[in-house]
Amino acid sequence: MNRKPSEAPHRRLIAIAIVSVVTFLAANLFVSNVLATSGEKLRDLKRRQENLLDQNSRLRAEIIEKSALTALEDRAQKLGFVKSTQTLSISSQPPVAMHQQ
Amino acid sequence: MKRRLNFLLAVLLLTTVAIVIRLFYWQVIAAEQLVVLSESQLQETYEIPAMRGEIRTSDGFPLVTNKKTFLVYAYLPQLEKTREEVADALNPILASLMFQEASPSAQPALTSRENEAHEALLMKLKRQDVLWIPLVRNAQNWQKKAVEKLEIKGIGTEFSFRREYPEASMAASLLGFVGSDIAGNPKGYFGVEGHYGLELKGRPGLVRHEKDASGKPILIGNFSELEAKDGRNLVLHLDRAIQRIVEKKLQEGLEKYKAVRGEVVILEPKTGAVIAMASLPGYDPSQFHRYDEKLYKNPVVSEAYEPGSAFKVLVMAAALEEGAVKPETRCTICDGPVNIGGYTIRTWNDEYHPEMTVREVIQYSDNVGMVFTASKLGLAKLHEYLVRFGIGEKTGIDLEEETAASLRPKEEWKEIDIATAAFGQGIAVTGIQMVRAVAAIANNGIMMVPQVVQRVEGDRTVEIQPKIVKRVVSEETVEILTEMLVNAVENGEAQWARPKGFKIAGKTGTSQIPVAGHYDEEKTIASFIGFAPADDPKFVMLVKLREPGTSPWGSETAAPLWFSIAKDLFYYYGIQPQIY
Repeated sequence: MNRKPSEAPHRRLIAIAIVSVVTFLAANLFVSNVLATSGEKLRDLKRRQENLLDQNSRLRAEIIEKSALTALEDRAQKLGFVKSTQTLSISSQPPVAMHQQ
Repeated sequence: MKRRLNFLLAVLLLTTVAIVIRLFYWQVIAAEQLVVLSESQLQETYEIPAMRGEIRTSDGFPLVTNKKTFLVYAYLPQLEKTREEVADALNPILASLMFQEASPSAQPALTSRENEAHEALLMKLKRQDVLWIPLVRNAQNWQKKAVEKLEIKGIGTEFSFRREYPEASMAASLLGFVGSDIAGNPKGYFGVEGHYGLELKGRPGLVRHEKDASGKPILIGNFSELEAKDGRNLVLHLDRAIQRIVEKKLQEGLEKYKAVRGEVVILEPKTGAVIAMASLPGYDPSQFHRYDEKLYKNPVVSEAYEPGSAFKVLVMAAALEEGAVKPETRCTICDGPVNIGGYTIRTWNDEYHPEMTVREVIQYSDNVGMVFTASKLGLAKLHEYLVRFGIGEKTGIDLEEETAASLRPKEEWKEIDIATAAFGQGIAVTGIQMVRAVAAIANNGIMMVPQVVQRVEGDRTVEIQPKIVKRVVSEETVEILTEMLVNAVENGEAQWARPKGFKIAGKTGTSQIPVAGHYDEEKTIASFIGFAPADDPKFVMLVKLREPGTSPWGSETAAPLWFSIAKDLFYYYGIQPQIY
């Protein structure tokens, strides 16, 4: 059966429309998927950042605790350090005159 | 047929009109309401908390820092489970915190802790007068995760912080503490926390973004952010090592001399910097609610007392500056007690030295000699110099609770007031006023504003420069007075305790405590104020003991304590003995 000459352009248009719709649907699906996974990546990065910040502040707190004077004093005592009871002062400038026995 | 078609058309038309009307309603009339609803579903808003600023000592060590904690709250209208079920679920996780955060009177007995914590939780959950209630404020990370894992609707967590004190209660009275205001937000009270509240608190931020159905952020959606601004950090002039020395020695002194209370304050005379400030008994700022409120105020800046003989330093400075007396001027009334306005003025030990010099008046701490000096000076000049030395006005120190006892106008002074003021009774000062005045003498006659904070660090760093108040006395007067004070230390009643080889300028003080209109017979405030080394002062220090039990005299309690602290300061600063 012969097709009418006026029907061919219509069919082409319909085919283009169908292909466009399918293409856009696929693109939409792809972009949505990327956005969804990016959102998840962002959340994951934020979680890792928080964990690192937490770790940082925990370590800082440990350093501070260990360098507190009370902690240092305890440690010094345990290591056997004692306060000096006698101090000898050696001056760079001796007196002008000194009685020597 | 035509009728059926018309009927169908009419039905279609009516349906279309109905749909348009409904659409008009949803998109125009109810649009705002729907936007709000959609925002709550699609938008996520959360606050980024601002960390409160740290308070650091001069070596950069954080005396006050922050620890991240979590607040567990209940939003009561959203609770779907019964209160008992919620309490049962939360109790194993939060029980330990419930009684930690309670006051001592509310703390349950050891055996019934779990039950009492459960009851406390239930009481909070059953409240009818609030919609939102905090259950615990200082939950750890594991507790937060355990609560979130339960997925109880209406129970949530949010970020919080707790103030941490790595050096425990060191300098508590200077620092103050952080409590809550009426809205439940952190607020600094007393001391540095109170005075610098605005700098320390910062500003919370806000993030608003679109989220999908599972709660994940949508990258190309609406996003707005207001950055949080953390509070600024403060760096103090406080020397951590010296503060530790002072607090240790003060505690030992309180025990040795059986005093009720004690304070020590040390300034650097050239700048007015507060190197150390201690007051005992103190309190733990992390648990301030467990202590008597009376301990919160720093007595060095807020408690007025009669200074006793230590005040003679200021009166003598005035007399020397005005030329009313010279060091060699002889006291013509010092052969016995003196009668003023119906009152008899005696020396502290009832010993008298006729014709002694003014220099010896300070050495013997002679009250009659000071009455003579003040009479030579006259009321007008005495009052003028008291004002010049800052008596009766605040020093301007950067601590919240500073007060100043007022100085009566000279028109209200009687003859006896001049006499008693000459030896430091009948006149009230705070510790910081006294030490600032004597620091002026140590600083060649120039008075400085006492300062606790040296630097504010944040987005920009601000150095707080030393501030000169005024010149109080001349350098000549300073030289003469310093020599008299050195003589007082070397030959006065406290000479037995002084460290050998160091030139210390100082004065003891013993004052009776006024009680209900008269002076207590036994109770005293014993003090010693001085600076060293006398020729180039590195520090000015006041030691004050209230009601020492072993002896009422400053020369036997406060003075030896002052010298004991000074010895350690000499080692710390590498100051060698000057007299061989």
